[in-house]
Amino acid sequence: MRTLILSTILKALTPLFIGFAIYMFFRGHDKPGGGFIAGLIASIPLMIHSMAFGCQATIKTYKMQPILLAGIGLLLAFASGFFSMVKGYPYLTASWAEAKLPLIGKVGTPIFFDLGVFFVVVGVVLQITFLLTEE
Amino acid sequence: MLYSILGVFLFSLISNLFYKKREGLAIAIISISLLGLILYFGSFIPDIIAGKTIYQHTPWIDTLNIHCSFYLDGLSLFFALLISIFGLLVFLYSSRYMKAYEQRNRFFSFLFLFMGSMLGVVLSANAISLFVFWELTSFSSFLLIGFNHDKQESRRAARQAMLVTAGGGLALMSGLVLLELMTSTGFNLNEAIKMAAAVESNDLKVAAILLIGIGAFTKSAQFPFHFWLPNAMAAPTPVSAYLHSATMVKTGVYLVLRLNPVFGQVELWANLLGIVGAISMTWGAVKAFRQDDFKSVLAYTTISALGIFFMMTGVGSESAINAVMVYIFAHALYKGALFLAAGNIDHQTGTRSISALSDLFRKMPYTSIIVLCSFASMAGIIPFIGFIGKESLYDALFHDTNDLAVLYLILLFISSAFFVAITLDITFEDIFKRGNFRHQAVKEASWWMVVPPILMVLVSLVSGIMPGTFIEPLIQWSAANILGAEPSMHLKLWHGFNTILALSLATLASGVGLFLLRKTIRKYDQPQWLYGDYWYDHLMSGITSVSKRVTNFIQNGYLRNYIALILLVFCSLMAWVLIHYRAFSTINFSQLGKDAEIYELVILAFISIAVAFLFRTRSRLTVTATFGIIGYSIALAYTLFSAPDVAITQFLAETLTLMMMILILHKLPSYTLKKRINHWKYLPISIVFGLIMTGVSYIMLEQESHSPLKQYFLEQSVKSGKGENAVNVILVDFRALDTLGEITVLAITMIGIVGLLAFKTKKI
Repeated sequence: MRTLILSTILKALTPLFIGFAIYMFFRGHDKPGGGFIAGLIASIPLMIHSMAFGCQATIKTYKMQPILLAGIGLLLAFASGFFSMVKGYPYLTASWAEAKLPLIGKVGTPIFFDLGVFFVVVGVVLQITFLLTEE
Repeated sequence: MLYSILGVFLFSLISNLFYKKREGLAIAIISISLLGLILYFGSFIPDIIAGKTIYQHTPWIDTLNIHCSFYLDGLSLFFALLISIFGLLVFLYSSRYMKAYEQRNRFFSFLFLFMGSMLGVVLSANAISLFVFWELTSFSSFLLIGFNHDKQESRRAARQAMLVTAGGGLALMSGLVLLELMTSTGFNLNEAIKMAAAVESNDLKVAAILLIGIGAFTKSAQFPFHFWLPNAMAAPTPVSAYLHSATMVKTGVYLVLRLNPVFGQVELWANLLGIVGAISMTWGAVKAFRQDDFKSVLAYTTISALGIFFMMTGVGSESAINAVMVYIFAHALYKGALFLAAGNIDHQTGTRSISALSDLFRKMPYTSIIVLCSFASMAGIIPFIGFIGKESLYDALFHDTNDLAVLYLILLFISSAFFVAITLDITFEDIFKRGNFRHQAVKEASWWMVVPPILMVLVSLVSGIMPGTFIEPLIQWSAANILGAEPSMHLKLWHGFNTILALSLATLASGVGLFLLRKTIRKYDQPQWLYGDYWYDHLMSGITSVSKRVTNFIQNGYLRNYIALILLVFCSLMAWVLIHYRAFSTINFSQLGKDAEIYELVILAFISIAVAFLFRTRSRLTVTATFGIIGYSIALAYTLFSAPDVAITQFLAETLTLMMMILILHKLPSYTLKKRINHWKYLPISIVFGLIMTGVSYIMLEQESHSPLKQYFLEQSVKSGKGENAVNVILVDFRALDTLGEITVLAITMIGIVGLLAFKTKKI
């Protein structure tokens, strides 16, 4: 399925999708959005990319193995819970930093947990897609 | 004590990693540490002899009353010393015996895993931790029996031992839970064994006794579960010496001795142990005489000896328990030495067949002396400890008032006579007979393999000659702790000429008689159904064929059938719950359809038309597209009812599903539901499923309006979750553990899909 239209559109769409995903990710705590939704959005352009050029090309372009991405995400979510344990709270208790960063806002362990969810979703969706688009 | 067990587990790890790299160093370090362990337990001897007990407690799961608590009295100290001393000897022995094995680091790793768990069993004061260690010994025994895993025989024996002992372990656990129900001591065995009165008046005691009995009988290879032990001889010989004679098979005995104070007054307990023990004792002795494999002979005599322990525990009098403790000591010594000697013979000559061996005294003098002395102890010949053991057994039974004691005495006499016959048989057939081996180059085994059994024989001899000073101080307390009384054991080698000595002499004479009649005795073959293996094999193949049939019925290869079955089961369970709790009675239909807006009805119409259209279409592409319409309509409905998060997710999921469907569409076979009837077959299930889901959602909707949770989460998400989007705060903060579970499931599903698809295309 090598189509000129798709590949041209992709160039414009990919940053848009990724940007939108990042936006959705960080706004998730206060308004509709979050890691799961952001993960789904971010995986769409890569999915189309692999449909257009084949999964080998996608792996080469983005230099990543989706199954590894899912693993990293799971590990990140898992590890984020330990931060509070160091401070003596139960596993997975949220803890927030006092200071706020510009643009991003509050920073705390749930952000990292959500980031883990994001990576798992992207990883899983892409891995399945890659398996299906393989020649 | 916890640290000593953990230390042994650490050896397990160390030997797995380093044993092969620095063999000499590893042997030195481990031997010295084991010596330290022995000294550590030895340091408790003065306290125990003074009549004290030691209790150590480390909380583990407090809310469930599961702790790592350890209790040391005469009985557990005796076993702990037995395990650690034999552990050291067997370790030294096998450091040479296993030299040629490629995976010897693994072997030692398993051996220490076993040793740690075995110490755990005999030291545990908590019923649950005892059970955990108990199962660990079964598990490590499985690994050790199956050590030569390239042999089919080993694998079968390992699996059999695992199934029998671990299955018995489950019975044991139920029994321990029943014991806890009767005594309510928070699984504390120390407290539980003091509550004999509470148990005796409770009706649960019958079930508890039977279950605990099954646990002990399977572990200690008692009739009718005895058949796994002879098969377990497939393990390397040091393992047989350590696990299958000296220690592991005695855990069942340890358990019944430990629990004897609480059940001892119940008649069922006494008779169950006594009769099962008596059958195993006789059966084992008779079978042992008919074996040709040296190790099989030892295995069956072990079954027989274990039977003696159970029988005497069943008799339960003071002198009986005293006799059990002496005989356990004697048995561990002679049987351990015999197994190690059998290992020497096997290692040097390459055979264990009694009829093939000969001239051993000429070729392997030290090993032959070990064999002779140990067999003498087994046959109960003066001055070995085995003689004292046998005398105490006779004495206890002879003076007992129990109705069955006479029967037990006769059976014990017969078994002992067979022991004597076996001794004579081995002595004349293998050690002194002239035969094939006279002109072969057979050498004595190395010192590493001769010294450990010789030490055992020496202890056997010394303790036989000086029982009063050498072993009595500790063993009398082992028996006293079981009985809950002051020690009453007085061991002497020579009691003068009395009835018991006459019995001993008669045993020797009958043994000689049996030996002379050996050809006649061995002529009769037992019928097939008398073998435990026969029943085991039939049970196993029965289970396999039934599960095969069930699997073929349920998993017939059609995905639609799987889905139909899953939905059917789900609907039945759901319907049962709904009817049982009368959930439908609260449904209020008066609100239904009130102030419905026109755009809501439009969405409903969209969905209905799409569903109806599904029935007409035959193309997968159309079906996919139609499903898309339904999905987007539902997402639209979410938007209208102000659930933007869910709506976005639904939109995205729908889009991705569509894209994936497009990817797989061309890989699917053509529509297989050619006949109309097949099409309609699933309609009832679909309708029922739809109805139930609708009903459940509706009920939940009604419940929700009264639920305080909604308000709670909305308030708390800003206050403690620091976010205004309550849905997301619940996902990543309040219910983060659930989410973690979900993404884990997601990752596992992915791995499953990878497995399925990669299997098909042979690559990832």
